[in-house]
Amino acid sequence: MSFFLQLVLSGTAVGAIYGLVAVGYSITYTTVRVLNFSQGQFVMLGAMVGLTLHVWWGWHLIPTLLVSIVVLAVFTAGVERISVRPFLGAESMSWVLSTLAVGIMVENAAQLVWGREALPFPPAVGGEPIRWLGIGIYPQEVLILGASFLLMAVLDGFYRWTTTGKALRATAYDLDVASLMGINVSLMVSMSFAISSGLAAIAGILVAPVTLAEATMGNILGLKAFAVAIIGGLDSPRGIFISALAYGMFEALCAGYIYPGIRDALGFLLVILVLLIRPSGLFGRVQIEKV
Amino acid sequence: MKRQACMWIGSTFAVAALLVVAAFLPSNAQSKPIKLGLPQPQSGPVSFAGVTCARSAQIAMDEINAKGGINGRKLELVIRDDEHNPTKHVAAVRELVEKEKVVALFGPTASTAGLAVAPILNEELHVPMLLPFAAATDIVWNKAWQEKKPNYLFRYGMFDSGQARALVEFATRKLGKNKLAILVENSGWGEGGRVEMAKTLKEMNITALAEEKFNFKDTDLTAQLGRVQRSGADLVLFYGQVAEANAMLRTMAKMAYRPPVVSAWGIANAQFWNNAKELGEGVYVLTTATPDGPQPAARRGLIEEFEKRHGKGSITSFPGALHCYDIVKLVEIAVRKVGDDPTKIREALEDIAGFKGVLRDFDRPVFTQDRHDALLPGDLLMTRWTNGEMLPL
Repeated sequence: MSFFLQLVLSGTAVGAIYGLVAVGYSITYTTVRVLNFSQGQFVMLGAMVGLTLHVWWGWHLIPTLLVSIVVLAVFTAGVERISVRPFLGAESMSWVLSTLAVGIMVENAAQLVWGREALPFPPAVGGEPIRWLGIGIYPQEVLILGASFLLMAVLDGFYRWTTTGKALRATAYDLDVASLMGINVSLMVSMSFAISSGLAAIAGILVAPVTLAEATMGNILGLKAFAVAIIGGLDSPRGIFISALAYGMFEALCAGYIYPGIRDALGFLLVILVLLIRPSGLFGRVQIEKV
Repeated sequence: MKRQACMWIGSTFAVAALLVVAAFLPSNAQSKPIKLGLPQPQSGPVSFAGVTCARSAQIAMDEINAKGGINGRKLELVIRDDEHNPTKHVAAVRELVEKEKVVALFGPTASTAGLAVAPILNEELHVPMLLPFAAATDIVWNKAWQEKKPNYLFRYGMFDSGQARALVEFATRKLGKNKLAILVENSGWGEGGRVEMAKTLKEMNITALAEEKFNFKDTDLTAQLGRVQRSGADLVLFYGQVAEANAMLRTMAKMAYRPPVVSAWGIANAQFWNNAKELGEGVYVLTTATPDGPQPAARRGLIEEFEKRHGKGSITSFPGALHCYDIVKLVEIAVRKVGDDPTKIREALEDIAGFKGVLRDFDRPVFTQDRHDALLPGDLLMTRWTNGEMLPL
């Protein structure tokens, strides 16, 4: 029994990491129907900037977090101008390649600056695991779970109830119409990229104590988070959160009861199944395109 | 247009004439340097090994050159960056042999590169290669060896068949455990280790209670360790790198399940302790040499010179530094005996009766015709992570 419970708990903790990274995909998609495929690398960059400020320069965690968010937001808003903006609106998928390319460049640059070694990142809260009823979890994992829930809730509320949130969603509908309606489309696009990489900074700093800070940490993370975002529905933060936890549990249970090697295969099979049955994700709004 | 063509033809003739003259100049063989090729990563994730090897080899050569070289000829190190990439490694080896005319080569860091280059050296290039890093058994125990043909591959370092045997023997004999679990990374190296360990266990009539694999970047090994725990195993045999070893130890702490861990040399470096800290206390790890604890006198000179040149803590691969230094000295012995013909150097390497190296003293032949692994299973060193140091047992 405790094996089952430990698998569920560990799976949830891993799922929360995916969720934290995955909400980043949601924002740019909701705004401009663009997926930032360098999201995983931005998470890594967040972790590395955080590492520099917090570990190397000895800053407190709170200013580290704030400054990292700002650095990432400004950096990405700039990168977006070059790598995404020129392709918006046109019937082209060039942004897929350009965001992937940005990810590779960021990763290579990070290797030059921070090296290729896995660097330790101290956890924000206690290093000893909490144990209860024969199962255990790290305080940092609880923190990640909490942060993932909070970010989901804030983002969900932002889309639903604020004018800016509604403006972001309207931008997605039609760039031209949105701008005719008096929405500053250019600002909305910049903002969506800035927010998504601000979230990446938070994710990086929270996740690094568990994954270790490493230039290549973003690859698998970005991929798994993308799977989770697809399953949950790209335009639904709460859907992403729920499916992230479910996906983490699913992985752990498959690995524990079937065979660890089959975990990723079954995970991605699940993605394909969901896409077949509900192309816009389990919680995504079904889109009807009128032709 | 016409003038350009004239110039082209003119310069071609000029170059050709120079070449003809050069060919008839007396070749100054006596003062030409003897070149050793080092095709190893100088950039990227594994450069810590390649850079240390090159620096250490240079120190050994400088010592020889300071005493007048070999019969008046200086030794020269020719370095190529193979980026830990098998394709680039093979290309670099070809270039070093065909253009630079090196008389001997240092082996790669990647086992796959070693497996790729072995038949090329044996069947085509005929230049001896000495391996300080790549540990896969079949690189050295290759096709040429099976067919009793001249084998140009020699290893002076860790070897996987011996490593697997040493891990299993330590677990069963020294620690007295026989309920064992095998936990390896999902890679060629990990799979090789799993096969070799299972083979050794079979000879002892022991079956591993669990055989589990994990992927690179896995951060939680609850599934694997849960299965290990449920199998009733009381010791884990581990093949993996720093990040995944850290994930394993963190998961163990979470599950309050901490059997002894006996590990291959993937975590025999300071980086392991930097990450795992106290969780790493008591982990057993196999290596060829440890920087911690008292060092034999022969080694201290090399360590001092290395740190004088490149700074304290600059030896990023301690075994690598020792292996590569000794490899130069072995080649020196061979060249002194037979000159600079690579095929003769190969034969001479099989005929070095004894050798005092910085890694260890050999009172047996370093290599024989039938054994191109310098080290024997008994020469591998089991250490225990103790308060940040890898102390020998």
